[in-house]
Amino acid sequence: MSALEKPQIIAHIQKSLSYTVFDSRWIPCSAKFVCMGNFARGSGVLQIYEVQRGELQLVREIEQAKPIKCGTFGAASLQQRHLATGDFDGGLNVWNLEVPESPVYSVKAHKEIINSIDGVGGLGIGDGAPEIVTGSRDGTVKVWDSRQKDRPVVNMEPVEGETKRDCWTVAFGHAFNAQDRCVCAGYDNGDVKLFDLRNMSLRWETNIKNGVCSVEFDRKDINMNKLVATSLEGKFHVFDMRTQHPTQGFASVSEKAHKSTIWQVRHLPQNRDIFMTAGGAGNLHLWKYEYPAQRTKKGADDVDMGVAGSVNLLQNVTLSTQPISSLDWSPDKQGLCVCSSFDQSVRVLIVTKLNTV
Amino acid sequence: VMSGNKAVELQTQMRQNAEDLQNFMKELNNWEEEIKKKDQQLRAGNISEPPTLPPVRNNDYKKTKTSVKRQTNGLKEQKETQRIKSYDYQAWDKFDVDKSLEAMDAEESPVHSNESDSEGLQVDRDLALTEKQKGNECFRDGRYDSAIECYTRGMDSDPYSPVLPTNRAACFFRLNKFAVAESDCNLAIALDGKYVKAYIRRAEARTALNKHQDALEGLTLYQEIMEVNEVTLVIEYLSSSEKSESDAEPLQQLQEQEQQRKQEAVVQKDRGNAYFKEGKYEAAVECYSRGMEADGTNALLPANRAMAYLKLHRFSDAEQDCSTALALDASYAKAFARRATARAARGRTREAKEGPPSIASVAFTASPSFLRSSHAFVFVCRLRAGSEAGAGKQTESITFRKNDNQLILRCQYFLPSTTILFLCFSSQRLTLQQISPDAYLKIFQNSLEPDVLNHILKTFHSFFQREDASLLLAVLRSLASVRRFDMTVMFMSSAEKKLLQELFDWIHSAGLGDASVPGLQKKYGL
Repeated sequence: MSALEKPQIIAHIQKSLSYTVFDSRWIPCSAKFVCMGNFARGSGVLQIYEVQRGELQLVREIEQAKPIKCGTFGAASLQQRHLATGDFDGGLNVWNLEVPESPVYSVKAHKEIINSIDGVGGLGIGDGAPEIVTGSRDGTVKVWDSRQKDRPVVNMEPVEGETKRDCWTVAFGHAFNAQDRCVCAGYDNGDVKLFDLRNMSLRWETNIKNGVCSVEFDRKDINMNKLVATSLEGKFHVFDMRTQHPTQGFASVSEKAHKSTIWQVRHLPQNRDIFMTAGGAGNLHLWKYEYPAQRTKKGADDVDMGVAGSVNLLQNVTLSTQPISSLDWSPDKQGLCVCSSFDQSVRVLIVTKLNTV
Repeated sequence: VMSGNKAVELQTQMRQNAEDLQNFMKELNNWEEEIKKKDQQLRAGNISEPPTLPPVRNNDYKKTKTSVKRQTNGLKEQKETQRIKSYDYQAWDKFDVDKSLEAMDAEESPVHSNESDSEGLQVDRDLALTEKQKGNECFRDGRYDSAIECYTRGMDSDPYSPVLPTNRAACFFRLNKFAVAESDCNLAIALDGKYVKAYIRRAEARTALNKHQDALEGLTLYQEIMEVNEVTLVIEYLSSSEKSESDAEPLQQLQEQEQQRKQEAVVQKDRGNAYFKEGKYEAAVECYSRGMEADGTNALLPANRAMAYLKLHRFSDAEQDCSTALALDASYAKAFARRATARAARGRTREAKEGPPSIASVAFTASPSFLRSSHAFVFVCRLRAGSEAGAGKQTESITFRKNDNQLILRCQYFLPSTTILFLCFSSQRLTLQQISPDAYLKIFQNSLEPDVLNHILKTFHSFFQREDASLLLAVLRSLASVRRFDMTVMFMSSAEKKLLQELFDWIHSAGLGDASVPGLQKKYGL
């Protein structure tokens, strides 16, 4: 692709914040996003900003008792748009941002910090009950339904006797009808595990030889298509999830980039083959996945196995010297995205030419 | 010409990019307005009826299984009403024969209903556990009524657990409702005949109701069931009135009195232990003292009182008590350990080295940060006994085993070496005499936590004597070779750096300032 046709990544707005920000998420159906983090004094904070003609207006600031690590709108309905957050103390709270004094749902989900959270079934995407999944340093992955108090709907924990590994990331996927759901969890020792919630079983696991920082399905609400798992030391793997071989699992292609930890991967909501990775050196890489000519082939024992395609780097840009810890595409405007980094700043980015890529 | 082309290309590229960006921005502004309108609509507008959501996952799974077990008739009826009409071809197309066969099998087979039974119980046990924890919290806060509610809810979920009624009995006891407490204990004992706490609580409740004879009987019964001889496990309460009522022969009476005193001592010991756990050390000391008055032959009491004294920093009293305990029971390892701690605390490190010749078990509490930092709960390090014993006898394994808040250190060494290894982590200090410095690498394995480093340095600072200079130097050297040392040094505060500077000054003044020391100082960031 010539330089003329490559998408451009431009930092449209940059804002310095007075706290450490861990996650930033667009509020669906709006030009607003939420930043979550903690003040130096040890309390958590939620700030809502609105994009207004090239500037960010602070709409609201809400202080919380505990620092907030992650959040998601995935399980909220479009009218209510409640934010589910996980904090440093292991507490899961669902907030109505209009009435933030007390949470809509609150539970002490884990004994240690909730590292990652994801939601599915809301926002008019997909069928089935809205559910939230949390992964924590205590090694367990729990699925919550806001209609059931105090107890998780599913709890995936290591067997008695096995050492608990920190769970660093979780993602929902395969939610193409009301019953099917899968949860993918990545751990600090490189394990990637896929749990099937319909059959309540471990469907697949593998080890990518380095701590897994982020996993994401390309779409949550379809039959599993692709899964990207990023790790420390600059490597990420793209798995083709359509064909599972009984012994060899899923086919994958891996790519080394960033020369540092890849903190986050996010697929473009409007095109599931384009995704962006955020690195520890403050850089962003935009990738496009190309499917192979044949997605399946016959293996040695005449059983179908998948064939992985290839990944092309479309563009990269360095925005900061500190790691970019979170990234979120706007579900309403293609090419608009917000990212936050550990230099206590949040940036709104514009990525052009995504419709012609 | 080539460069000309390139320049043109570059220019067109830049122009295109600028155009792209402009278009995007224009679109963005329009989009912003549109989306704000939509946002307002959603927030203000009618909340349309949400479509009926599927039930909570796994809830109906459990429910259908239990209903299969309980109401097979009802289920059959349900099935009949749901019978697919014969002319509904579409429904027949979707009808899954295999599934319905499986369902029928599940209905009939008792194995499945047993499974469902245990499934149901499993889920309820989780709820019971949550309620128990909630109840424990309320109890600790003194909110006994809320605690009772929580335990009751827990008992509804898991009617087979003896823990919940026992805990509830404790709540009732605190509320002075002794009869209710007793009946709860009876329930617990009925559920599990070997549950010690239930017996003890029942005895307490009965005593409070002045039903001493019953209390005694209940516990004797327990003793027979368990064939337990150890005094610590069985408490027999007898009040003074009981003593006077006894009309046995004088000899028997004497024996009984002996027994009574012993038992009273144990009562006091347990009370003291309870106070100790709650942190009320003075009260604990009182209980232990009363126990010692009652029974002067029980070695546990002085040893426990010594522990309480240690916590209260009354080290000479602690040492005395330990000696008393050892006089009563020469093989009581805990007493040795506590005496060592007491002596160390008083700076008499040399005397502390007297120890048992064979296996010594030292129990101590470690600061929470240290416990959290050691991933491996059991790690082994090889250490060399000090030179005083002479021929450098190797000590065998030193294992750390974590048990609640205690790290139990077991060490074996061969002969009566006068050098005892003691490793006392207390919340105040860390005494590391006699561990060979080379062992640090093994002890700290993956990382050296800042707290631990500071403890080590503080210890040396407080107890430093001239002859320790070479040891200090060796320690500092080997610490510097532990992994993640650099990071730990980074985290040192200025106060700690001052400490370190003093230590290095002492090394210099002791005449050990050779060429490598400045390098070492640099490593420590000085």
